[in-house]
Amino acid sequence: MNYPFFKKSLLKRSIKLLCPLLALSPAPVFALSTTNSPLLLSTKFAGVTGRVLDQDGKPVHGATILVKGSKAGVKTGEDGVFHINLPADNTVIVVSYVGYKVQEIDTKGKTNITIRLESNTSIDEVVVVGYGTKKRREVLGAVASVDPKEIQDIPAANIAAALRDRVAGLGVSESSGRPGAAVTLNVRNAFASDQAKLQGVTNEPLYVIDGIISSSDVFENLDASMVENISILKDASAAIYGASGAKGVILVTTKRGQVGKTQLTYNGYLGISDATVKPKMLSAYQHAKLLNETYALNNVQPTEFFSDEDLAYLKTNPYKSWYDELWKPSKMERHNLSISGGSEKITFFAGGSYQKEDGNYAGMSQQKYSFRSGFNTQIIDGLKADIAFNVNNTKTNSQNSLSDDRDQNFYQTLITTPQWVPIQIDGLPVNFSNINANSNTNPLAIINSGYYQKRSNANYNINASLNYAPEYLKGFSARIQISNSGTSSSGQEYLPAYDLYEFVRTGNNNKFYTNTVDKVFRMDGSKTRILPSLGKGNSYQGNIVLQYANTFGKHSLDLMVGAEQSASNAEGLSAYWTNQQLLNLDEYWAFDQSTFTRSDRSITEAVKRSFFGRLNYDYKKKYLLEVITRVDASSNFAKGNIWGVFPTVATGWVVSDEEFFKDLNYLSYLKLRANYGLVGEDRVLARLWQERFSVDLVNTGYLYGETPVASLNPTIIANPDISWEKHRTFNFGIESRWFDNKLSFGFEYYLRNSYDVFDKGNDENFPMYAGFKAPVVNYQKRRGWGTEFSLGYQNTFSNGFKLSTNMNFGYSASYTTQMYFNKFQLWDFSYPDWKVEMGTDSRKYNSSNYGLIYQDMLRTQQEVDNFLAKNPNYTIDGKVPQVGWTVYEDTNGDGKITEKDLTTMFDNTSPVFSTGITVGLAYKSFSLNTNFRAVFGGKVFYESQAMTAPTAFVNVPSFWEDHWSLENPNGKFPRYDDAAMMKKWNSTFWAEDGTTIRINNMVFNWSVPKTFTDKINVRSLKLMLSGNNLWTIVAPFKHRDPYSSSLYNYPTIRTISFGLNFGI
Amino acid sequence: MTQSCKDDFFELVDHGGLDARIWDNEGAIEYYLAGTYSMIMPTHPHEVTTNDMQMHYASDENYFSGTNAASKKVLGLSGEITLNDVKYIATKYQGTNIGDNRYFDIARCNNAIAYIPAGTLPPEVKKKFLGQFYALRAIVYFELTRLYGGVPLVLDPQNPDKLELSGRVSAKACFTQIVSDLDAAMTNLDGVTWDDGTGRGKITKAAAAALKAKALLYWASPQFNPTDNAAHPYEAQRWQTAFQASKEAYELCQATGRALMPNYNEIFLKEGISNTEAVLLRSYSATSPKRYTIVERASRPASEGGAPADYYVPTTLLLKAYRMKDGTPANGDNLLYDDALFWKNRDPRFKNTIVYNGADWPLSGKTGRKQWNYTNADGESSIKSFYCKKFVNPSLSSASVGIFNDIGGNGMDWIEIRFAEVMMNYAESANETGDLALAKELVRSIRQRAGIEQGKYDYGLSLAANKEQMRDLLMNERQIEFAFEGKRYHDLRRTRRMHTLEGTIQTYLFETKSDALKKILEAKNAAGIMHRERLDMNNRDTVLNYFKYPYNLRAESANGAFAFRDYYYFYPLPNTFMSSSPLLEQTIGYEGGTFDPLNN
Repeated sequence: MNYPFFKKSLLKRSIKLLCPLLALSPAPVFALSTTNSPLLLSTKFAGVTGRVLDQDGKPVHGATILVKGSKAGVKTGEDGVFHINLPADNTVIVVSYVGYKVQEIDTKGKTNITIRLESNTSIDEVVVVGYGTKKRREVLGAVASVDPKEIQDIPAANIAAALRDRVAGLGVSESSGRPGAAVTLNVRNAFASDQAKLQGVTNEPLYVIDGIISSSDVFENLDASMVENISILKDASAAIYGASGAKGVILVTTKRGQVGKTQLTYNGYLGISDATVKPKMLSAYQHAKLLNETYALNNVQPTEFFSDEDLAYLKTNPYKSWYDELWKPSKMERHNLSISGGSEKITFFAGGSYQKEDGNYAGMSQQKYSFRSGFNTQIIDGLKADIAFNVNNTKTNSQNSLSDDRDQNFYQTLITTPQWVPIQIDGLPVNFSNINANSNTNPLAIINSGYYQKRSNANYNINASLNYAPEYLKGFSARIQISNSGTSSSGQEYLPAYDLYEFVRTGNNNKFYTNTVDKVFRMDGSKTRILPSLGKGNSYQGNIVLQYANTFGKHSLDLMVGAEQSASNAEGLSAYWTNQQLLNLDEYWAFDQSTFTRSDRSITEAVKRSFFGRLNYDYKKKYLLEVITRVDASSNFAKGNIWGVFPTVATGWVVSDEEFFKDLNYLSYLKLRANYGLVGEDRVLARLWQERFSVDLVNTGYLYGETPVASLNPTIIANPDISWEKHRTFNFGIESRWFDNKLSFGFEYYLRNSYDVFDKGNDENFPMYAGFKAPVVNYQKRRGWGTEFSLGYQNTFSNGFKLSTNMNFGYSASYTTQMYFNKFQLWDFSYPDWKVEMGTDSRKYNSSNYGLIYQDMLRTQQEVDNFLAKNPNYTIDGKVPQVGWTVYEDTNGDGKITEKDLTTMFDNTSPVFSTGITVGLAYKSFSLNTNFRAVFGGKVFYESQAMTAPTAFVNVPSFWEDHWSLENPNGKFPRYDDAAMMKKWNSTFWAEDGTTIRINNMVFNWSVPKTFTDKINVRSLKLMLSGNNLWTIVAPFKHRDPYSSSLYNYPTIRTISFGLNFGI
Repeated sequence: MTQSCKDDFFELVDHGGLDARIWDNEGAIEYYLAGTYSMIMPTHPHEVTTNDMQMHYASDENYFSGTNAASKKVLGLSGEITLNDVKYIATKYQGTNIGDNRYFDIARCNNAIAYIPAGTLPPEVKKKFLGQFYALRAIVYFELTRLYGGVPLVLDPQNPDKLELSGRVSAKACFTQIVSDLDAAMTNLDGVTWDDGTGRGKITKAAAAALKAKALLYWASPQFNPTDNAAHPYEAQRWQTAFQASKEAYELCQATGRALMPNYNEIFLKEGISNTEAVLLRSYSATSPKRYTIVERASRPASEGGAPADYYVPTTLLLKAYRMKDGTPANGDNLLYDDALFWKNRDPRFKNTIVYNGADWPLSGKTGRKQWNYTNADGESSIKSFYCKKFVNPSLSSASVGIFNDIGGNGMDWIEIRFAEVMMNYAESANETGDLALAKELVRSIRQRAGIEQGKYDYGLSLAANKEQMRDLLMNERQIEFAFEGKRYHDLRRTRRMHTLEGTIQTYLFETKSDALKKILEAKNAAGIMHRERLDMNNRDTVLNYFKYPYNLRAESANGAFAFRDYYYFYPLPNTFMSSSPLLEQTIGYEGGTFDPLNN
């Protein structure tokens, strides 16, 4: 630390030394460049004298004043005064000083001006904290905020996806690159067990948009350019949202109008998307050669082999792979237009956005339309109204099924079909199936048949509030807010019949296709289907908040109390008809009416009522205290257990305001803070408290003669005591800024003790003959801790070059300290139950870290013989090892390798260091913003799909070329019939170092100079080139993107876009 | 906002289910009962395959027992039964599918029996329901008891706050409870009749009586009442009790119109009121979604839409067990018997059950159709050397045999107890209590219905001169009469005859003597009819001309001889079940086993 500091001080001193020299120069102008600027040759100058003050009105020494468009300028003196001579044709000056915003001032007609600098550090930025805002320096919890401007130009699928690697402790996972695929956020490794997820428990944070509890869908529909601020409450400060605050809160404020002239803003982009990693599979020739080799090892019939002629033919395989047949680069576009403005009395904002993301095959696309508007008006003195109206609409269309975000079946068929199989011959789709789910289908045939699945979701939201702050009651304000939202959704799946063709085959093993049709497979009419679905929902939320804030000398007090109530309901209905009668008509009446079947019908309701209060006190803004309490009632629990009380206390100390710190001029700001509180969670299935029976109309009913009768089945046994899940959270944070705010360092440490956690999976704690399913109970206990570090550096160098970087990283772990398990079944300690998970560490006990311990690959028969001599009864899954197979450690010592030898493979699979870095560079009108991910160490594993053995029906990734064979005894991978691999047992063999370095996204901006924009009467004009998922520099696997979990998933998409942003 | 101020703000309507109000709602209990029947009422054999259910059809009767791994363990052909092999009792903590957990099925009955009486329904409605729930509970406990010997008895609703569970109880306690439940069923169902259209398959008083007679027959039988076990002396009195119950069941059945069907081959074909033999049944339908049976598909040859299963292929032991048409044993000494034409001159139930090579089988309504079972016979894939015609509706078209979109098949009802079984149980208890004449009278009417000729030996009955001989005759009669009805396994266990089986599982193969002869058989005449259709399969010369004789045998090479262990008469509780409670003891004879069901 000392060294850079030392250097820095030297630098500072040297500038100070230079100043007097400069003052001595004859003209009060200096040139940073030695070249003669034409400006200096100009003869007409106008002298301007000015004074630069900071926000507190103190003079600023050393601020730079430049003539706009040149490098010529002066510095202010100790009294903040400067004098500059300006050419008559350029009267604009640029004022800059580190830590403050750069200002451009037109001095035309003025000779004496005063310039007030505005801080550009975020210490005084306004942070939304729930039912109000605070200045950053007053915040006492772990609250991260994201400026939507930073992410609005990234061509990511949605706002959630653009948050990746930007906030410490915020996890972002995209299920795939498919348009409309789910993106889930997770705050500080919030946890819900697999069992609990089946009971409606989630690990997602709570979304609050403009003060209204909302859903992830609505959040994902937001266009970043219409968002003012995003805050992420990570710790017990979320207690103000007590209910469901346990897993973090994402708080969003959308834009409102500003006083001033009406402004119109457009921003948008047009991009091209393609897979980041194209699937590299074996070519037809390589595939056939491999099969021959395996056949030879297994002595299969000669008729199975590819003959030499066959192989020669495959070298010039005439067909494209199915992937190449269908996969195309796709288009992505987004447009946003908004107007805003207003007077002192009324301001308004209205904006519309449109986003369209196309898939790379099968006519997939997702379109989002949204409209947001807001009016703020002052009715009488002290009484303000804020009314917002928003409409969103999302439409998803596809010519294949939308049921799987990852589109596994379809995509798997594209990449794993052997490449000697054509997708069509003379326009006729080939009948070939290599996975069960896709028997008698052909992706092209489905697309051409007219099949489609479409969905449309629309929602509206009216959000109105009145704020009354009478002047005669200083510091008092009252606010009432009411919102109503409605959603409606519709969808339809249309599945017409299609024909597939089988062709006469040729070749030694009859694998090759001729042009002669052998037979036609016609899809059974009973499989045709039309399935429309409808849904709607409605909710309201209202709250009243009273606030009193005042300052008494050095004491400030802010007291807020409020009450809130909400209710929501939703219902859905879908049905289907089969056996199409009128072909080519996607109408229900085109189908056999007698086949009408209800597919789904659901009705849900929920209500909630809450009271909450927050007390803030500070002394000289230096010692801060905050107490929050929220009392919540949830309809998910039985009467008597509905209420939960969630208090939090927090303190903070702005150390840098202390006198003894004033002298440390390298430290600009330091705050220590801690909070401790309780947050709750009620997101679990409703009515678990009640004995319940449900009707099964089809599956388990009974028949008396020919009369079918539905059955009524007990669902789950009641737990009348079920109530809130609770998390006791401690958070300690340091915020600091160094060297005139250029460098910032933040640290958070949290400790989370979760108790009464919803737990299901205690079935086994009851005798198996008790005859009931165990109820969901508040039982589990978990403990988690974590640290989060954030480092930032921002500086505007004197040559106008700006650098701003942010880096965040952290470590975390969680332990289960109590859960239901059956002490009589401790012998069963395998995933997913981890019966002995008690007190164990998630960094070791996780589902991927479970497998065999790899010992060796037996590369020669000699090695096999030696090995078997040493381990005479050794078998793997009952098979004696053969040459080219891998062998494993016998962890349970029974002499053979079975499931019982699967164990935790590594002590820790987490990376040694994992960080997200954002670097912003700006120079003059150019800026470049880049977001990286860097992960060092840790273990990642080949997915089980990558271990699939090739067959005459299934192709495999091209890395399999390098496998053991008689010709290639040093191959990296084992023989295909390796016993452990056939069982898809994971092992240390399949582990790779997790080091990944990757550029997530990059935005390059060029602001068209004002000289030009003025000519075309445009306020601002910016051109952008940006990219998302740009490139991976280091990755553990070549066959898939680090963000894809399997090569069979719709791949991660790289989008490169060109954008435009202008304002009038 | 105003409405929210009411106290009922948090009282939301449950649109997804019902609470304890169901016990006041007749329709709801009717649905609950349907779900209970669905889980408990036995199905066609082999219809449910989860949890190795098929091992409970293992016997010397079908070839499948020699190919199915679990069945081979039972019979000792290959491998042996270890601690986790008999999963009938439970494998899961749920009662969603048949066989998940029998105690979930029992809990359904326990709840109904506990809560219906407190409900608001009229007493006669309550009685109808209660009677059925008592009988259903008895069915589950009876199944468990005959497999495991003794299991925990849970009779009241349980919940986590009120767990009243004990360990296993003796066979005696189990049977006492089963009989008591069936008595309660009979009392509650007294005078209750069900409409065939909407109530076929519901338990009647007569059915409850038949179940009770059956339970008491088991209690008296050697499995539970061994004749050679010093620690558990034989109790002859139990046969007396069984006899009384059988008599009552027989008379109750007769009083409600139960009688033998006139034709043996129509027992399963006729449904509803026209079937006088069905005492307890489970309905199936060819037209109601998900209520189909696959029995037709599993029985039929591939040429007529089937996917024939080994469990409908008879073993040589079953083929030999059939008597001749006059009731005399089929062996080399019998002049009626010709080993090359072993299907000739047999008890007519042979040809009404078993389809041999060249047998008449007018499937898909094709009159005059013959079934060819010789190896590589033209027109057949996956050939079996025999088929079973018992559960086949020959008039069904081959297109209707399969199941599409949860619909199809023959919809044939499964008769779990038919009147013939009531009679056979009655006959057996009569014989054991010394009434040989009554036993013979009952068997005589069954043999008459079967079409056996009176002959020289009074339908073969005079060959049994004493109780012991009659006992063997009764066992043989059951084997034939109930062939492929899933009874043989339990009969062999109940009578402790399973460990006395000799030989192994094998069946005959039919093969043409040469390819040339096969071509002749399959040569078509001008009308397109193959030569084989005109063969007289009852003519020795014809048969020997074309087919290899002696017949080769089909057997699984890995199998040894029958080696049923004598401790298999009571099975071990599976691991997950055992380890779910410290109160459970393992069955004696197995690793760590201490529980002897026969102890009091």
